[in-house]
Amino acid sequence: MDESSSLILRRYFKEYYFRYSDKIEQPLEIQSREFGYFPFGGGMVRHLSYRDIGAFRAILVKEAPAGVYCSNSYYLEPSAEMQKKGWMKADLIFDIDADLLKLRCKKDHDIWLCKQCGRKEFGLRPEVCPACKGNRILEFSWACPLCLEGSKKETFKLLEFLENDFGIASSEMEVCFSGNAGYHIKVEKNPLEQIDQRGRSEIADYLAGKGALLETYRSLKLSPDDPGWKGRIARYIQNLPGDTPPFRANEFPDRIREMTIKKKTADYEKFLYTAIDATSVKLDAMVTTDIHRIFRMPETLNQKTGLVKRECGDLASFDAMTESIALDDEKEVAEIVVDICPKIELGGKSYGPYRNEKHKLPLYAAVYLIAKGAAKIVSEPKIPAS
Amino acid sequence: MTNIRVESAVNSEYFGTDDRAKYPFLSETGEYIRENDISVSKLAHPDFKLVVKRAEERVEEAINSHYVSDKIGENLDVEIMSFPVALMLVKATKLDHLIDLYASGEAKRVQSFLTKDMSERTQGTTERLVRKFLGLGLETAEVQNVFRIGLADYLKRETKFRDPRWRLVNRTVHNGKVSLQRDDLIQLIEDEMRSITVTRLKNMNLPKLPAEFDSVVRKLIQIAPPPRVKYTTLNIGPENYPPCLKQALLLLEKGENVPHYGRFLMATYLLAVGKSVDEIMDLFPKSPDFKKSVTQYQVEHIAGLKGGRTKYTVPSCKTLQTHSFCFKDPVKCYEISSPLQYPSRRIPAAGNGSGNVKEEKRKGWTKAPR
Repeated sequence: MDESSSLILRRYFKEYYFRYSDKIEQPLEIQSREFGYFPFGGGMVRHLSYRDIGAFRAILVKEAPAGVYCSNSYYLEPSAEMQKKGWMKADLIFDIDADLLKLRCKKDHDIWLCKQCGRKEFGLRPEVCPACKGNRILEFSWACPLCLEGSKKETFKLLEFLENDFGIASSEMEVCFSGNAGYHIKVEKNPLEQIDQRGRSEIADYLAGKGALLETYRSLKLSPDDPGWKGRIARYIQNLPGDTPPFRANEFPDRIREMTIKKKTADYEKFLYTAIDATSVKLDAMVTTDIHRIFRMPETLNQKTGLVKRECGDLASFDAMTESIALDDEKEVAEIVVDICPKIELGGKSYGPYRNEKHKLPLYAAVYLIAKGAAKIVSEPKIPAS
Repeated sequence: MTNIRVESAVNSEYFGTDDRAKYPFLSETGEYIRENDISVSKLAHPDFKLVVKRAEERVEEAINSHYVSDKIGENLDVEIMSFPVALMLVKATKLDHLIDLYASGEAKRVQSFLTKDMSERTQGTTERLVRKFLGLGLETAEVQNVFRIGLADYLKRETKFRDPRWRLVNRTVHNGKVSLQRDDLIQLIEDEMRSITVTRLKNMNLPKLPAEFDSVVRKLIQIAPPPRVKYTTLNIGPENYPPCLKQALLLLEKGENVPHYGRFLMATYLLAVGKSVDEIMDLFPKSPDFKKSVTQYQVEHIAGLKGGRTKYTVPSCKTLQTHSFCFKDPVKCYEISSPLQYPSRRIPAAGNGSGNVKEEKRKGWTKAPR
């Protein structure tokens, strides 16, 4: 990123933290948490510990970092090096991102870049560059309304699992837009906080339906009213259209019989995995299983977009690309040159697609495109240097 | 034996002498021994002859039949006392593998009592037993012989998840509880007993035993089986790499991004089979986002040369499945739990003797270097 564009991002972030750092809430049991931040142009600073959020907010106002994080784990010595921290427990966290959903719209808006010849195109990453046949190809993901809707749907699926299967009340869950293309879900003060990495891996596998045995789900006793995965598979069968092979019968008992008795094992196995794929939650297992992670804090900015990681009051009606804009002053504009970007929707308006074009956009939209690495600043807006 | 007999109801609201004899792991057993002022030095006294004999027998049974028998019908006090004495005998042999063997034998003994008790005794007693053994709450489901335990309690028993039947996805999980059939619950307790005994033996400070015990200990060392051979997997060629590692290398070859766990597997596996940091580094340059200094630091960190100096182990097959980096070969990956167990050239580690030929045949391993 060029110096001027980088400067504009830093100023934008600085202004945000100057105005709104008091919105960053103190995490539970702050003295047991590890804090960290990622400065612009520098390496991660972590193993920090505070007794009061005020001291950390002051650092954010001063440094205006690119990313701001807090551990989901609680430690005896949060500022010690990792092996000496003394792990006590950890909030349960989940990360859902549109990129993991492999939605069809990706081919319309993602961009690839051949590092060998510099060619850039919309679409999924080819095996080799059609121009130079090189295979050093980078991919850039973008999020469209369909992606955000997909992430939201996936989040609802997760919440259903957490509530019905794991018995976690919705009041115990914090659901935030990640500031990029998905949602972060956190569960605090639950008995599951004591679970170690292996137990968390089992939770991630459960949500993904990994390890399901054929014999568990090949039973005449399956009922749509069953709790857990059995009920999910049964409801999937119940809700399939009548003409969906291999189930032609419309009555549920007939369908179950057709599945358990009449179908060949290999056919049922294939069907079961399709049912699991449709019903499971696609999430980043690394986030859920890693108990030494520091996790982006709510009300801080995401350096990949300049948007805020923001708690969703009502998930169903939450409009991520409007409600997570950090500084939404429409009068503040910036002139940028966009290298390549798909159509994006931000603040209720759409921009692009652009290719080698100069545009004057609201500052937040310019920041979004600069942070995505798709644009450079031409003329700087007047942001007060706080 | 009159000097060590006590009233069966002493110090226990719920459990009698017969319970302490059946379940000698209970903390009441320790209290029982303390209350009767029984010390190690007294064990050589003729009064304790039967106790020492039964203790020796317990260890022998674990060695010979992997099962410690039920003798509570004969003399409850002997049965209670012989358990801690047997622990001392096992510890005195200094054979680490005997710890596991003995713990398994005792756990099997508990299993037989539990099966009977859970069928015959009241629900309340079952719940108290489980609470006492595992420290967990237990609910009885509406369906007969189905119990429910808390999800967190279930997940803490993660060693069970190697068995696919115990994977959470194959259980009914509802409202934060996991349903278990009676036999599953018994198996859970059996495993817990095994691990409690192992921990107890490993942490035990062995007191000085009377000289009369020397011959018993020598005999147990003699009849104990040899330890299982540990294998090292040095000098594995690319043709014998497990499919997950082959996939990571293929992605690198194609210039595609290798996910975190693929890279972690590459580094840990190749270090484990004897490759140097430099040899591993040579594999990386085709990666599109390659940053040599970062990658070098990461590989050295994994090797235990940098940072916290912890040498990381190869991720298990289950971990790789969780992170969608398992590319299972349905035949060769059958029954393995680590990529390092993928059938290939395996060499017994130095000083490990001849090895378990039967086991090697079953797994289809080739032991000797070609």
